[in-house]
Amino acid sequence: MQLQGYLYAAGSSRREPARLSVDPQGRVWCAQESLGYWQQLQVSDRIGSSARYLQLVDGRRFECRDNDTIDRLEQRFNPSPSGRWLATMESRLRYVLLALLITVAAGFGLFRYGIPVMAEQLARQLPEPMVRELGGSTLALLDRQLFKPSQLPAEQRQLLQTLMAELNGQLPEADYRLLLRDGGPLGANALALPSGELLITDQLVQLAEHPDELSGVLAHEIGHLQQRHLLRSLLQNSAMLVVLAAVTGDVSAAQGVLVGLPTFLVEQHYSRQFEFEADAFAKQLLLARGRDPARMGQLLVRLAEQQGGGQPDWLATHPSSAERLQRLQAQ
Amino acid sequence: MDREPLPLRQPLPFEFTGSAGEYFRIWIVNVCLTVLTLGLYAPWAKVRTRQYFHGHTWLDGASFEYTADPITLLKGWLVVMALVVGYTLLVPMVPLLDAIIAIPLLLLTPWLALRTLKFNRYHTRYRNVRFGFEAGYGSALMVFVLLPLLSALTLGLLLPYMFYRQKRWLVAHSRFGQAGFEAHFGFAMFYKTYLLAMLLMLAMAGGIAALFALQLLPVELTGLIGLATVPLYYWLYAFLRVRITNIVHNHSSLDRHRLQSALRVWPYFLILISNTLAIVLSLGLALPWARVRMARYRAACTKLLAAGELDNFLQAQQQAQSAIGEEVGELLDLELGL
Ligand SMILES: [Zn+2]
Repeated sequence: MQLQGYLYAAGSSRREPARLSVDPQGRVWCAQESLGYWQQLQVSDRIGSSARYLQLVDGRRFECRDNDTIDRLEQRFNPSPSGRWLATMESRLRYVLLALLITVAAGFGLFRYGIPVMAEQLARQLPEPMVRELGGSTLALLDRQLFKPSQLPAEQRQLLQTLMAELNGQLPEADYRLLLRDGGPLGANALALPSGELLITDQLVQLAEHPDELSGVLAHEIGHLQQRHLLRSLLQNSAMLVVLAAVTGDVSAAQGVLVGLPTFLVEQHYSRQFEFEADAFAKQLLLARGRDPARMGQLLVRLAEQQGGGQPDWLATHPSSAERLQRLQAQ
Repeated sequence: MDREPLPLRQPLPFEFTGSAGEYFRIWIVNVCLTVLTLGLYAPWAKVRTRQYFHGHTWLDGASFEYTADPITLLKGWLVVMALVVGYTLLVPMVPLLDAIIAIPLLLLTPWLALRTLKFNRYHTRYRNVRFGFEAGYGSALMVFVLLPLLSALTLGLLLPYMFYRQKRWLVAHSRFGQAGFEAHFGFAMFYKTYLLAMLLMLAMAGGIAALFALQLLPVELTGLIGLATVPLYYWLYAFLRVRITNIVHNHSSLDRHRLQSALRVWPYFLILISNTLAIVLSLGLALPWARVRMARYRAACTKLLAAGELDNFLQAQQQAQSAIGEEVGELLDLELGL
């Protein structure tokens, strides 16, 4: 068998076109010169159709693109090759498809189950003071940028604080504090800060027609805090980034940005999950107090109607109100 | 003044011959085995990927070669992993650990970068001759720690100078066999490029703001500003990348051979952004296609202006000593291309 390629002098870039031939005993010849036996050569691994390099005993090196002939020679004269099964896997379509299948399944499993479960475990183990710090100066920032002092009449505030106290009483060691604000550009909204403060805007209170609706909103926000949703989504997102960077290899600086998009999509999914979890938590809490969880669902539907389409923030990250109402009404 | 007659230079094109289909097979097997072995296969994946891209890059009838041993990489990675795990476990127990190790860590980084560079250069071969990197720790400390600190202290005024010094350091300490690369670019070129980039960015941002201010664009689109900055960011990245690469390549030489790089901003930008879209829409499966595409474009824009035959390079003798880095392997995986 013959190999056509370049032969390089030892330790030099000087080259000559050369034809190696291998006789049936495995001896390698270049013209009349013997280059030793095939087993004595160091043959580089096959990687696709990229070139191969044969290191000769005397320091000379042979470069050749004839992968198939080299593979046949290896098979014949080298009983213990390294890395041959890898090249086999890469060249056979069924192994490639199998690898694709395993990769997709593993990726799906990891993002759907693996990361959320790990994030939840970790989030539960972090000590309370650390979690509270996450909120940090958020409240001050929100007050400066968005909110104005609440304009609600005194009796309404009183009612809200009573509802809050009732929920606090339901939960062991709970000391959540309710703050009232004019939502400003945020409009009708409610949110929970990791520091244990719940915020509800005047606009949302005015939209409510029954105390149970407001109680439901507060219970829902408490649900987010109790289940550490903010921390979990932070952990999930950073885990996603690490996994994506590891799998895709050296992601260049520019491609770092693109990682943000799948993260965002998965995040939407996670946040839907969290909304349902918080709703389920609220439902239990309300039922225990003899309040009607379906009322919160009605408030959500009213809110969706009032805001119409195209309202980005509150609804966008939340699942459809109709779906949530359905779940809240279910027995 | 130069009495030496100018050698006639013959342009030798670089060529990338890899294909997306072929690389996809290698890539998917790499990813799959990395997942199944919980990451232990990663060094093999890395070596095979590098060898695929090196081996399909041709110049004057010869290909580049990547010869690192995955086992060596694995050892290095395990060391790093052990350090990270140890650090994570110790942080809650030892107060102020962050502060205590910050300085040693800062001093260690240039050393790791240097080791990695030496390692990867040593294992890159072309025409039977190894590349190399010969620089001392002091110069690495200068370009990786002191200059970044200094440029932060001067509010970024020294940033282009820092990039200039880093590139010059990379080129001027690189070797091919016994021959050394030489850098002929000056820092003025870097300042010009970064200044231009800044002006263009300001002009584009100003243009968008003006469109809104003049109410040529409806206010409802304000939310999309964030989205519009993504292509802008990509364009800026492409601009800097292309300009700097061209400056560096066009002003570097090896013996009397020179490099020539004719990358252009718009094609580079379009490849970058379409690659990104393809990768996102395919949930990552288009990554091999994207990489091959970029490698092909980059190779097609690069030439070696050879002054005569490339027959006279000799393997450096002292390179056995570079192999001391072997035990460390690739500790700090920096993308430090020429
Ligand atoms: Zn919610």
